[in-house]
Amino acid sequence: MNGVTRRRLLKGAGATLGALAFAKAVEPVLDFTSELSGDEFLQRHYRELSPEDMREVLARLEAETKEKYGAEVTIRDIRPQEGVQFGYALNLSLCIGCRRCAEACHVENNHDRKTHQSYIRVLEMQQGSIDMEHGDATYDHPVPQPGRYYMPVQCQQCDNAPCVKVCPVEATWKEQDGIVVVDYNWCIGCRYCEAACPYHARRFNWEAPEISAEEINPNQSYLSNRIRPQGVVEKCTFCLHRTRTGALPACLEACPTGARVFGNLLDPNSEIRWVLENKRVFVLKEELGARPRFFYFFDV
Amino acid sequence: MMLAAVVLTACGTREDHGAWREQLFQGSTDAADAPSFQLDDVRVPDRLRGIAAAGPDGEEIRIACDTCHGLLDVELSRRGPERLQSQVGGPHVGLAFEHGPLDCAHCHDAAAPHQLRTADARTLPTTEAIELCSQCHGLQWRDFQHGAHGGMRGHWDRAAGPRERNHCVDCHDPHAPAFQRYRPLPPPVDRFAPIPPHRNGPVDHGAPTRHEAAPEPSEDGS
Ligand code: SF4
Ligand code: SF4
Repeated sequence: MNGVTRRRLLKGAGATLGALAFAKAVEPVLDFTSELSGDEFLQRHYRELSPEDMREVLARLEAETKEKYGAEVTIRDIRPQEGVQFGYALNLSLCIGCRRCAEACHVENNHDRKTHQSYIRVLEMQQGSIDMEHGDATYDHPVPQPGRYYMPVQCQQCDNAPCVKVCPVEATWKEQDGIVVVDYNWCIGCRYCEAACPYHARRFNWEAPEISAEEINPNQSYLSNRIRPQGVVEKCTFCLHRTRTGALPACLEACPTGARVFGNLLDPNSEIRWVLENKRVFVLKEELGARPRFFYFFDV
Repeated sequence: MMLAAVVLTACGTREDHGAWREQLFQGSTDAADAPSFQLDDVRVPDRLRGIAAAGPDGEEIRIACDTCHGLLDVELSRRGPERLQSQVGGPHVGLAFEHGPLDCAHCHDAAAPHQLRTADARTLPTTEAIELCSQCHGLQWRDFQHGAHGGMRGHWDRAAGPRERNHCVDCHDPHAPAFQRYRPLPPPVDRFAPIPPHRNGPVDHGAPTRHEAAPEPSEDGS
């Protein structure tokens, strides 16, 4: 790994101060965050974990979920498939703004119930404009409204992702299948990435998510929908715990209109390829050069 | 890519902002013509198998079209839709009909209305309605075959598991096919949800016309 990592920072501090002094220095941190176990504090970066480390980490996280939330969950570490590059497209002529997708994401990804959080914001747009900054995410009237259209926005899984570049500790990166992920245990919560994302796709956990044991989705993965700790950033992962096993994302399954098209960009017979080759697709804010994997189109 | 950028800069031309899209498919073969569409994936909703009615204990039962139409000799004349409602009898009373300029015999076999009749004069069972719909709605049919119209559930990777797709009539009532307006699910109460700088024009707060929420694949009759 290049750059300054959290580990190296800590090591550096340790070398300067001497090991004892360093231990003394971090003690208040450990005291203060009683939530944070010593194991967790010393956990290595996702990409440096050996298979045994990973097994231990997953077991610890499962036990913690049991303890804090009273729920039996299975947390897996699901890796990308060879020969798969994910892409997503959305037909703005079909979308009716019903927010079913946002709701499905809320449930699937164990979001905080109180804030009704979701990785998707459905923007109500004025016809004639595609400037998402002028969209309204808080509409609450029958849809579709005359003269409006609806543009759901979630993480665009950019190939040239600004959020990845600004992270000072490399807690977020792009995986081989195109999905941008966050190691919630490595994230220091500085929120640089949230500020860097042109699509407002990242969310910050101001508080630990509140969710009752019965409502927790027990099918979890380390890099996606496990319950996030307080003080870290999270985002849409194209439901990698589903999609890396061949299933469709939760938001697509919930969409009643079929506005959403998902698949493998490398499969010439996939639906997503047909859309990219036969519809006039565009990406949001293309001029920024972030190269999104998420495409929009209108029927013409 | 580096080299290309250098050359482009050297020539003073601006970078092609769309060029990156080509790279998305690197390492894959050219598109084949065959869509991966499988008609078997499509649900056959109950409403295609008969009409919903109240059973002896008030519970909903489904009566196959043949139950009546196999005995009764109902002949459809070419009637205009506005006269239709009062004249369609029995369990069809109250049927709302708003399907463009069509009348019954455009889709139903005039002599045996429990069957469908295509534009090229073939009869079809109601369960094969997709073939009939697609005769007029070709663009939707094309998109549907390519997975770009209509909801679905299951797997993007057909080798990993099955897929279930909605039928046309799951979302579009064939007698009044226009999509209705819905009450959306509630917005986030996240304090950082962007507040739009301006909301242009008034919104129509009228009640949704039919459903409170968008349709699930429904089992209701017609
Ligand atoms: S792909 Fe999954 S995580 Fe991403 S917006 Fe859809 S439901 Fe949420
Ligand atoms: S569920 Fe589908 S139609 Fe509804 S808001 Fe989301 S994308 Fe649009």
